[in-house]
Amino acid sequence: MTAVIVDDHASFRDAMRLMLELEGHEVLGEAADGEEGVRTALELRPDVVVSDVQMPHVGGFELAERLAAAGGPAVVLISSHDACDYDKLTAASGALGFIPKDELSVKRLVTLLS
Amino acid sequence: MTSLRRALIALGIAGVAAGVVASLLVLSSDFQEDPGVTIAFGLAVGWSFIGTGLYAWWRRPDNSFGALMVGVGFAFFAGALGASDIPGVFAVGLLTGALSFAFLIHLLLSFPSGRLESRAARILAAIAYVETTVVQVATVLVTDSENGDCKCTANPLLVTHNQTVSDVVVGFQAITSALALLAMTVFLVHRWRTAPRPLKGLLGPMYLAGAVTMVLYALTLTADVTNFSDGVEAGVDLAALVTFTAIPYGFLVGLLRSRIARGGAVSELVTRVGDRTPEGSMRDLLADALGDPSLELAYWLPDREVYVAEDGAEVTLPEPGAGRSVTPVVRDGECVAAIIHDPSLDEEPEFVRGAAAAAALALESERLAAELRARVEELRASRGRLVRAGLDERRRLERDLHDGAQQRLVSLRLALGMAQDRVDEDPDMTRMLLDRGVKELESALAELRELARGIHPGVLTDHGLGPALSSLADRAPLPVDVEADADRLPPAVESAAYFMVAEALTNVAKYSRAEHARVSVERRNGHVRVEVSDDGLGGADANRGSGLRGLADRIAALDGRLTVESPDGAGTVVRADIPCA
Repeated sequence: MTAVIVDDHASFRDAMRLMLELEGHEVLGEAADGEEGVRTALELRPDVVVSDVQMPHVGGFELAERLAAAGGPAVVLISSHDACDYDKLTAASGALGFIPKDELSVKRLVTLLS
Repeated sequence: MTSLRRALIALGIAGVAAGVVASLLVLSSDFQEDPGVTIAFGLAVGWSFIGTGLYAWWRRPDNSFGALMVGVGFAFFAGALGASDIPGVFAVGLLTGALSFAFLIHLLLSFPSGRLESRAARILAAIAYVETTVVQVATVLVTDSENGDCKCTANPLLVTHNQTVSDVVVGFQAITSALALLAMTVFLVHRWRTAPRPLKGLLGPMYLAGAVTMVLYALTLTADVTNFSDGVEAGVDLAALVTFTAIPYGFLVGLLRSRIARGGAVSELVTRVGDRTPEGSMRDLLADALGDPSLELAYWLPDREVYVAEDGAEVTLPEPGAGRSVTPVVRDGECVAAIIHDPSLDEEPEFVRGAAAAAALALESERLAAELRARVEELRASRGRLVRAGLDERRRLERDLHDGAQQRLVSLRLALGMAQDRVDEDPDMTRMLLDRGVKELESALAELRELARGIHPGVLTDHGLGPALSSLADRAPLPVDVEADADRLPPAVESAAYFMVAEALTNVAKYSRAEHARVSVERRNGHVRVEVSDDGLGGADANRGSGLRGLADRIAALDGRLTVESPDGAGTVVRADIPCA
């Protein structure tokens, strides 16, 4: 599986990259906000874009909407907030699904993608 | 006896002497017709102006009105030199003969302030002086007094016998002067119509006499052009002389009327203040009594050192010369309020002060009501700011928690999860993941500690203001001396004082370029005074930036007060006085 990680917290991006790479997946790129995330995803065309919801300027929902409109890769949204806060917004954004950050695992990601 | 009084007595004696000399000149004249009538009117005009002028001068030495009136009297007597049989003296009489009109016009235009206040008044006065000096000299140079209507003494200054030249010059002076006099009449009527009510009583009689005099003299000046019959001309001359004489009496009548009216207005005000319903506005009563609808009241709040209007809104008193005047209302030696009124009332300061004194007691109670309203207004505003500040603070906390400790803990959760999956087959990787987790946990703890201190420092709760401020000083990037008692204060006071010092020290470090700061906490007279001073650039503005404003609100919520003294180049002192029984 190839992925692009979009999150404004560098320490989280590092942890996420390590988690994916330890399981044999490839991280094609990273971005610190939604705008940069859309650009990177369309350019690198990963299997999945793992994006935080709350980010400066362009957030995760808008990123998902833009990538869906542009025929971009699948988006999985993540956040340290509760899943129930974002159910409807996730569905409306065109994202594949939502995983709370404290429940995030490669297995959960792969399940969602399959 | 004051020097002014001596000078005025000397002028009075000189005035009597001038009248006697003028009368003797008329009596001894070979050509003066009706010397008895001339002397009677001459003395009446001259002495009336001089006498009334000296009285006005004595009452209001700083007002040029009295001096101008005296000037009219003396200039009028100087005109009697024109009755002399001696050519030189006669010529001086001709030259100065019209000067009294210039003084009279100046007098009317500047009444009652003694100043020519409008451009129109200055222009009319200038025309009057030019007509009675420059144009008068030109007229004298072509006046053949020996062979004209007058059959007087020969004019030694005559330069031409050419009748056409004489007619042109004399006609020019007559027509331009008549026009100026009519313009002057229009000015007086307009001024009277637009004057505030209390001033009308003062202006009326003198303006009436002045305006009629102007019209009559305008008629006599055009007599030669309009070919009046001699009888009509003599009648108009006589009438003009009568109204001229009436002008100083018009002034006295106006003064009397205005005093009576004003005395009545103050008495009525006393009654109306006593009968006032709770809804009756003091502003309206004073505006009515002083006849100034534009009148405003500003109540003095000694605690806040500001003036406020009836509704509690802050008022800035007009600067001198800004077109409005201010009369303070004082009770028992303390300022209660200020009356902002039309500058025309400055002419009768005793009247405004009398009305102010009559209203002082009622104003004192209105002041207390205004103070209460101002306080409610201020509380409403600060309550709104406190609510907004509370919301901002919650947003900031949520953001700090989300961006800081929560992210660290999420990373820790991922690291622990990965370590858990590898604990049996890959101990080295597990150790690396656990190391990573420990670092994330340490960072999370540090961030939480910092955040908790920002919400409410534990050292303040447990040990009080002194140790908490010392800890704050230790963390400041510049040397800070702390002087604080070990006594505990109420928690709300300790908290407000702590955060005020924290914000002030942050500002010192950010903006002041100070090398040293000092923090002191002192209890006195049921108050605690917290002061942060520095030796930096100064020039700080308490109203700029939300930090100090928010602190001021927080301190105001405890009935305290925050002040900032920050002169340019002389450091800054931020001071909070908080009641603390």
